Amino acid sequence: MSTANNPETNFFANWLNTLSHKRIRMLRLLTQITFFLVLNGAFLKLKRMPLPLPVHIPPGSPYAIAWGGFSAIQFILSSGQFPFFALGIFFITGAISGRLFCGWVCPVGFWQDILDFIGSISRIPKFQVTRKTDEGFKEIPMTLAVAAFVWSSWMGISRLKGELVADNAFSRMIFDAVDPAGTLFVTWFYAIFWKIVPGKDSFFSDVGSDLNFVIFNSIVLVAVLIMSLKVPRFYCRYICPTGALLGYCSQASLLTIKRNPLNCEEGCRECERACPMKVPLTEFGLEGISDQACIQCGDCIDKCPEALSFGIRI
Amino acid sequence: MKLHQRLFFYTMIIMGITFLIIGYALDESKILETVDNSRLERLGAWRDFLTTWLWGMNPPNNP
Repeated sequence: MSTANNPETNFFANWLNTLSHKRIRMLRLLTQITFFLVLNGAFLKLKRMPLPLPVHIPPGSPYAIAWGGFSAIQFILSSGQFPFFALGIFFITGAISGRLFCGWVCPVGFWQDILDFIGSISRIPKFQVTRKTDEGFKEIPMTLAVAAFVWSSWMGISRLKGELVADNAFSRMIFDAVDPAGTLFVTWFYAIFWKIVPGKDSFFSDVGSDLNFVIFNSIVLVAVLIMSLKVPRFYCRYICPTGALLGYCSQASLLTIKRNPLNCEEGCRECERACPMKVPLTEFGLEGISDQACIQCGDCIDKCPEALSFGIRI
Repeated sequence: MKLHQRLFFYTMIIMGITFLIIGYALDESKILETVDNSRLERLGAWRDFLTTWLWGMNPPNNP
């Protein structure tokens, strides 16, 4: 793999670039498995920490040892405080490593990659999302993030004023109350493994029967599961507010992927086809990719190591 | 790196470090910790706590 096209590389970027064809993918898979086990380490008796991380961990995941950053932000805001620490984590990691956490660490991203793999080996025909549709739908995650911020802030102010006494998922973490990943890893998980099914208590009495709500959430989840088989990283691209927030902070990230246009064939675009996030890679050059969707997975580099490489933006 | 990117990058770094320091000074993680521990103890089990919390209302007057 060539690094000569990008003189500004450091040890980490150089090391990644020395991995040959498809090895980045394998290294990423191993990293994802490791972090999946570590982040769900309560299973292995690891200690739970009140630490927000820039990945999506549905609150209530039975074995999670850390907080999903976005859930922590919502929870702290709804408690009537400003989430300095959680936001700081996003700013720093986004500025340094971009959305590397989405591609290499996030357990929900790992789940999306598995679904994409299952879809591929099952020969389920993939949806070809057009650029225009993609650009429109890509606005959804940030819209959800902003809406959740506003809602949580409102709940926090109401709680400080003493007007709010309810302490449920809606008043605490509105996104997580309807999050399909939460439905899968928490609601369904409990229902399948511990036979805990809602129905008797008056949960969510303000929005109707709790069982109806779980049914609604389950319908959303099934739709997302089907779409994830047909569209790579569907959840990350069109739903995840954690990724949107990290993406916003990563517009000028230090770690980036660089493309040498001199090594590109005219109209090839193999890298863009390999990209699970459908980043318009050919619009960028040696200055590095500054698209908010890039999760630094390295699939494009695996596809075309001659023109693409990890690099440091200086 | 272009000028506006450089500005954005340094803004993120400076804000990030400042926020981390403020968050640490305010002991922000205590809010998250309080939830995990006190309610966990009250409800007797982590699993029950999470289930209750995700699906709905906690006992009234729960601080």
